Amino acid sequence: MKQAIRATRAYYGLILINFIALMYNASLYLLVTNYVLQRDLSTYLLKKLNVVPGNVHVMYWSTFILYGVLVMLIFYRRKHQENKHSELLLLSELFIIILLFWLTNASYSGLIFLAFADIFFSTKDPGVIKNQFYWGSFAVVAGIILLLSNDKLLAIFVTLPSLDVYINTLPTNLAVLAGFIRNLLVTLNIVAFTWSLFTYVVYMTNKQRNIEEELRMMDSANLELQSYIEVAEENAEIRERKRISREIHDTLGHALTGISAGIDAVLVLVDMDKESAKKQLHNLSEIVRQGIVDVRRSLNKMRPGALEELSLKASLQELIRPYTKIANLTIELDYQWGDADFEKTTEIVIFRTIEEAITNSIRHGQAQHIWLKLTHDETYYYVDISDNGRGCQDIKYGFGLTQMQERLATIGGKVSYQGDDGFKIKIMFFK
Amino acid sequence: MKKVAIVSGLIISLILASSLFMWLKAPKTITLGFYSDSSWGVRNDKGYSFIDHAIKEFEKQNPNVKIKYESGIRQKNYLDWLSDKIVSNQTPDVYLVSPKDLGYLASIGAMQNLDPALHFSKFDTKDYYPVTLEAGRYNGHQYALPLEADPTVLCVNTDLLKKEGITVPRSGFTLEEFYQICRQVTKDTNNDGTLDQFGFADYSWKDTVQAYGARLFSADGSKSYFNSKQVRQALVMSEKFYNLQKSAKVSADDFDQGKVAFLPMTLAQYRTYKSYPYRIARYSSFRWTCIKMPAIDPKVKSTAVETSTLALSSRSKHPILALRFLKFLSANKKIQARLLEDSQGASVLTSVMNGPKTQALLAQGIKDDNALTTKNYAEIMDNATVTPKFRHYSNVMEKADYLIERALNEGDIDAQLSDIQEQIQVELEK
Repeated sequence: MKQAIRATRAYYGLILINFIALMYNASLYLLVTNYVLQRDLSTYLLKKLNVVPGNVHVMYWSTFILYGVLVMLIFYRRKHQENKHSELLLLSELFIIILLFWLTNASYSGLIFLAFADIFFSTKDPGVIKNQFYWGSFAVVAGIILLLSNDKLLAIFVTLPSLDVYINTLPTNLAVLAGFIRNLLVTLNIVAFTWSLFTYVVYMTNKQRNIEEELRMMDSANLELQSYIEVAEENAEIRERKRISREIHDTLGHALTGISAGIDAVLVLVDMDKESAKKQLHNLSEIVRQGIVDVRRSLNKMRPGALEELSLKASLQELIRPYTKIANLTIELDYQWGDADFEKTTEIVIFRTIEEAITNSIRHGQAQHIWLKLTHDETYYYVDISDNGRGCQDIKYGFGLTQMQERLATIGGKVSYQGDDGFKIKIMFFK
Repeated sequence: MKKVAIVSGLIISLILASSLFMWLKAPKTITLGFYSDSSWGVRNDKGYSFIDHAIKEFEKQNPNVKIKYESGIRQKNYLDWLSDKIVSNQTPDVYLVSPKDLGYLASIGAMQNLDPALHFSKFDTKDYYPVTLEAGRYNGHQYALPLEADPTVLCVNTDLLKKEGITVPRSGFTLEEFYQICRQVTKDTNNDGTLDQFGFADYSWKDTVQAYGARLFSADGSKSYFNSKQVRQALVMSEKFYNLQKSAKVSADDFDQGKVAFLPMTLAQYRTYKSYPYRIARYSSFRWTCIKMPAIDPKVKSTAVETSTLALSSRSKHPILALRFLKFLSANKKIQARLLEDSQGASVLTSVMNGPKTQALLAQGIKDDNALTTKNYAEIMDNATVTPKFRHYSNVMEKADYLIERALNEGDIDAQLSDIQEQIQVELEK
């Protein structure tokens, strides 16, 4: 931040020095004209000048006012950096600078540095290739202008009332002093320009370095998070396994133990007391039924929560919703199945398959756009899942895809994959 | 809200329109740069009489225009005065330009190029003597319109020639005849061992170069031709003239005393000295007249004409009105006729110079056959050529004059000429 302030101050310094130098040159025109008129040196001046000079009072005041306008524009643009018209403002600033240059009869060439700084300080990203082209062309144009702004060279093309001639009509000691101050201001201007450029470059480099530093930190944080996710996934898997085993143990295990014990009892009883055996079998049947109820309940527990109460469409929307908050990821759902009613199992299979596909697209394909299209014709229902991710040239049927195929097989569905342009999954099953 | 906007818009446009109308109708002031004395170095007793008359007439025709000038400026200070005005951006809208300053003022861009305006208004230039119009041209453009012309004529002491038995042709001499007469009349009449009657005074090498129709410089002043065949011939002839009366310094005073046969003189000088009381003061002892300058053959234009011109300032705030006034001074017959009456030079319009009053003005009230006639004048102007006008003309000519006079004095002009040419070329390129 300190560097930013320092760069800004150097730039303001440059603006101030340019103002002083410009007004100094304009004042010289004014003062020497008065001197010449008092001392009757007009004929001498005109003979040396080779051209009719303009109105020096107009020059002086319009220079003053135009520079004020320029400074106001520069400050306004710096205050409102995101302004839509900032390029237009920059152009008008450059135009004013050229106007000032012309107005003061090209006597002060330092203005080119002001223009250069003006452009440089308003370029946010000097390194971008597009800007590099502009920089190149600007450097060429600026070089030509700098060459031309030497008024002796310019005099070959147009005759301008040269300030040197004005100064030389003064007595020698005054002329030397005036010329010295003029050169001093030009030198000061170059120093200020170099300094402001230097501070700005230092500021920009530091900014760049800070950004890189932050990026590195984020990268390592990212890595940590990744491994954390893996651990968490593993934990969840273990927990799920435990739950399932407990569930099996509590329901099926319980029922089966009861059933096997009951059957053992029936085996003994069947010969001795048929009535008791029958009663026992009733009990067993009760236990089996209870077991079925229990198993169904546990299965229900494992069903996706969303599907418990919602329709398939709503569940899918619910599934997508968390992803919409992720930047750079869009999932589009095109649900054309209307209010078709499916069996619970079918719904689960479809839901799980889509869930798996989205996970794959994001995780393996790094997709930024996923399209879900659920359509149907007279005989089939179709599910098309496509993404703009990396795709996969050589599809290997790992666990996920195999499971998907197996799962779909249970509802008599078919699945096909295509991985050369993004990843596409096509599913169809009978109505 | 809308009504307020409409009403205020109406009021603003009304104010704008009325101020534009006021501005258009407001009296305009045109400034004029003019000097009090004659452009031709002779006495001017009438002062501002001509210009005051012209201003009065113009203001009568254009009631909305006021014309102002600063009085009391003399010709020798005029350029300094004008420079002051140019430097302080107060250049008069219309200003008088003496022939020697035209190149300089046009080169620095103080004069407006009149070509577009003249072309646009279909300005008729037929009435002008071409040579006077040419005087206002610079680099091929009309930068000024002529105001007054002053051709150089050859004054002849008719009494002296009659005494020597020579008749004066009205149509002038060839250069060879002129030389022969000069040789014939140059003699020691009282036999005291020194020459006391001469052929010419002030007939310089420049006049011989004119007589040969030789060019010294290119039109733009970038090249000099002192070593060309024609200039060489002219200068060799000039040496012969010089040697005729080398031993004596003959001046215009000697002509006044009746000792010299020929003296080149400008029309303004002729008109001034032919008139009362100068005629009595200077030339009462002999009769004299003017003819055109000699040339090697009648086709060569050997009469130098100086023309004062009027320029329009390139910074004029009322260029259209100023140009109207400028044209009024230059091309209006009545104004030009008045100029012929009040000033010492000649009008630049042929119709004025051929007009009925002109004969009387040229004769200056003397009824003798020696007066300049309109016919003579027409012949002289037919034979006229314009002096070159580039920026450094006067400086370069001063240098050339010095070098050639020295060479004539040393008697080896032929040998020195290539050296002179080199020095002049260097001077030109400075």
